[in-house]
Amino acid sequence: MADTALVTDLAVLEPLSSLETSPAPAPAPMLGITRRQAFWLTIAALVVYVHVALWIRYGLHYFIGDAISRNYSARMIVFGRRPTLTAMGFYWMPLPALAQVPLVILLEPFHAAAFAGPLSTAIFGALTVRVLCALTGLLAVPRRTALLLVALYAFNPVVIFNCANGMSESASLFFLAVAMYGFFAWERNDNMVFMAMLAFGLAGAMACRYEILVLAPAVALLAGIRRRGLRRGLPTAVVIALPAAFVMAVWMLACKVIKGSWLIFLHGGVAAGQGGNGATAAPPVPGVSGDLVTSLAYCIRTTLRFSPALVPLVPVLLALALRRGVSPIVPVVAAAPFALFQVYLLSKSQSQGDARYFESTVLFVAIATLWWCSSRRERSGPMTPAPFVRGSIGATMLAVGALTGTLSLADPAVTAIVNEHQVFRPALGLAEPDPAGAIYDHHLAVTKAVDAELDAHPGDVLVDPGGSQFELLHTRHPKRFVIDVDLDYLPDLGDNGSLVRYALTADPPAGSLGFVGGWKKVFSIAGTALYEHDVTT
Amino acid sequence: MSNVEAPRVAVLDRLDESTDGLRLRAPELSASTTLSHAQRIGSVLAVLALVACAVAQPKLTALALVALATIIYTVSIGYRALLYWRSVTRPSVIRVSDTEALAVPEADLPIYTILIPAFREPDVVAPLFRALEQIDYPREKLEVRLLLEADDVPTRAAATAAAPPSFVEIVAVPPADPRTKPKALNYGIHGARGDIICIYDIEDEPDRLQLRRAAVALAAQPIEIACLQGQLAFRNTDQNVITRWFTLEYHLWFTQYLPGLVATGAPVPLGGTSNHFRRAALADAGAWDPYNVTEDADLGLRLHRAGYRTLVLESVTLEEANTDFVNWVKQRSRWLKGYLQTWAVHMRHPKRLWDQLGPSAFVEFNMFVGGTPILALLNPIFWAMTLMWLVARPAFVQAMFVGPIYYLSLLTWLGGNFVLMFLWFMAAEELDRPRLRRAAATVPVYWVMMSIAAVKALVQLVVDPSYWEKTTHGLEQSGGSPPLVSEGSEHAVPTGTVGDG
Repeated sequence: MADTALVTDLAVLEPLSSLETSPAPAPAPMLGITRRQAFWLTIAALVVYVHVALWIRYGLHYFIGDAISRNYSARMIVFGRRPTLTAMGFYWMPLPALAQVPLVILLEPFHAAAFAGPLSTAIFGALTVRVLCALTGLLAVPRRTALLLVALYAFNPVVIFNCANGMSESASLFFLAVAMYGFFAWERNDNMVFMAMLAFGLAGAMACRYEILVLAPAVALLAGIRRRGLRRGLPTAVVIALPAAFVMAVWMLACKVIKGSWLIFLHGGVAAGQGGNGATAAPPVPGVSGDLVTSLAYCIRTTLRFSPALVPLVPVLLALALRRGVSPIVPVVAAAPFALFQVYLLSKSQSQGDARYFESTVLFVAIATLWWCSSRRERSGPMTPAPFVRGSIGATMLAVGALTGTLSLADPAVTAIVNEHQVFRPALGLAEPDPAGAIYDHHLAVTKAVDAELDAHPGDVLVDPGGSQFELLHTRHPKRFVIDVDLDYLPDLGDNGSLVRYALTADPPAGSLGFVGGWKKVFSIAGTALYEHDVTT
Repeated sequence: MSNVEAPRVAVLDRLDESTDGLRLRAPELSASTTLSHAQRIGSVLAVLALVACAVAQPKLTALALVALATIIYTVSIGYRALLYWRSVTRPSVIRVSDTEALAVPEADLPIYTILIPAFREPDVVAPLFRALEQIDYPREKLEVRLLLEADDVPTRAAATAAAPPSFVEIVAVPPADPRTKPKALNYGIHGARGDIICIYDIEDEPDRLQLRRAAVALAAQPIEIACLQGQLAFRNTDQNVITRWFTLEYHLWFTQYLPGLVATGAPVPLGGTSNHFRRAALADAGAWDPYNVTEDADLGLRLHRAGYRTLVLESVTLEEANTDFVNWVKQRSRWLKGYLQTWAVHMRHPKRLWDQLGPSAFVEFNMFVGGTPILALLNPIFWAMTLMWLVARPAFVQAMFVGPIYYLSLLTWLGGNFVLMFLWFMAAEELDRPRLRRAAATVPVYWVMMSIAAVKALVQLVVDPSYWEKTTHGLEQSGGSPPLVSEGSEHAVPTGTVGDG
């Protein structure tokens, strides 16, 4: 990206001394991060993210079940019994799993395909840093301020964790960063390619997370209003939102064609073998009573744990937006759906209020801070003090956010869902009462035992993905496993007797592998059992 | 030879040169025969080989053909996106402001020859003369030749009755086959005084400073820049959905794809109007091929092969968009037939073409000039297969799309087509008219029309390759919304001031 090129043609906007004979003009301030600096900052971020990912996975033995699930999906796409794209699953948006496929192919020969997830999030995270570096040039942020602010984002422990955990936030934030760049670039350079960047950035994010269903139209509308005003902005907004809408439409079509339901992703409880016709009720969240008020209060509290800078930033940006147009509030509007989505779900008792849903706001706070620190303000004022002051305030805000976010993720009360404290407490040198290692080691031990048993019992194995993710992730026999996306799979275990000889399931069997009869247990360990089809019955 | 015979002989010589000059001097570059002997043999052998494979291994052959087509589609879509990107990141449009255009003293301006061929266009002659009167160029340095077929009595009569300006000469082109526009151009250029030769169509309305802009631009460019292509836009953008599609297509072509081709160093298939040539380069390249029905695209290739280059000039010529489906199909089928002719002619000696163009330009030539009509021909086949699959799920369709080919074709079908459609939406957004956005949403219908024209083009290529499918002009309705043009031109209409709801 032409960030250095953009730097050179920006006017230096400093007040002139009017009457005195001027000394030789001061050299133009350096604006934006140079390409070389951006390169090294990106590499540094990547190294840190990968290092932390390795430490989390193989040092602490920490994992998140959803990340494991996406990783195994990627592995099954390529190395499953019948390699098929449908193994990507139909619960989450597919891009985070699909993005791991090339990495799975690369890592499989080294028996390290399980690391494809954290590696993919590390790469996306580093690319996000690169986009932010380019954004500093576009927004004409003084160079030192730009370097400091981007570094504070890149090395924020919350961000590092998100870029090392194999989940979907990192991928979505990369595309959203691209979209934000497109927005501001289009504002400055009236070229349609930047509109396309904005539109396809939103589409890429849509392929990662469902919150973008709200975010994309909101940002598109702001972009339309920015370009053509309130009355005529709607058609432009529709064009901008089209790619994201297309992604969602194709996804729903795929769900309908393959799984028989346009909205199968809303029925995750059914897909996981639980009864009912909708998502099951989530466990109660402390402080939330299943209504909008308490849900909103919870979401605001949790958001401010990671992005306390929103408190001063939002009113300042709103005030600037009233004077300068919609651009200042775009990052804030983009951040809002991540929290608002949870407000809605919590009010319906359909969410556990996981802290990670609110961590994504950190990126938008960083972007909002960069915008505020832009040197393109003509004059200083109460809401736009001198560049040095703004840079100092911005850095302080981001640093405080990093601190509060880190401390929050070290608090077991806040991180009861995916237990991030199992990572942050050791990182901070605090005692960890519930080490993750035991859980991971337990699963690995089970997997190894199952693998050894499979070696002793050659033949195809029917597997319930919901209950056997670890086996699917770590097995050395992926082609022996018949999973639900294989065309000849049937939901009831008993009906598959002619298909496979063995079945791997929970002990006792549950979910889609309903135990009917004619199967005998040959091996059991820690809630996992291997059944053999009993041809004598 | 008598005094009566001498002029007649001169006319015949001139006609022979116009008709057979290129064919005799450089037969390998003439479309007088569509396929060379080697190409005919090669084509027959290829067909026989294909039939043999289809008989011996039908499934494998079908799979291979589908795989090949899928790869072509994927590369083609990616290439168009690349051209769009290049047009933005490597701006290549020449801009000459009004001030710069008017700053040159008249004495320093070169002599300009404008050639305007016409056939059976009596209704459009008078408006042409009015448009010519608007051109800002010293009349003593302007030579306009209206090229009319000698037996086109109605048009010649209309031209005479319309009292042509003093700088306009009506040239009667003796009737002779091939009865084509490039033949008339070749005839008309004889004895022209101009240092710069320019072509317009009879219904055109050029930017009044276009000649000045082109003269200034060519003077500032190195001698290798032999041609400037002006941008085209339509007067009757909003007449109906066909004109709206056409408007979007032209906008994409002249503001994105064409500059993208220039930026990538690819040969530029010229549009048939608003081309401004250095006279010497035109002669060096062999002028126009009278047997090629897209003589403009062909000439652009020959200029490139001769070492010359074409740039895009930011100056708009307004013309009439086709409003009628049948008329549109006639015009488009001629263009696609001409592209196939041009592709066949220049691929007679692929190695020589490769050496002259270079690898990337060679590939781009094949993708754009050959690929455009071929993909238009392939589309109906794949649409039919898709429809069959959606309705009946026949096993043979599934058998042709396996493994990586299936996924690539799925990506191309869904993602690729959407990207192409979105480019049209971007064009509509740039032009900022609600009806154009709606037209962009229905562009797949336009693609169907292109395929219809492509089939017609293929049939005509076999049956009558040099037949000039005449486009009827004068069908535009008067009134309606003003035309849409880029900002820098004489015709600029500020965006946002005109709307139709």
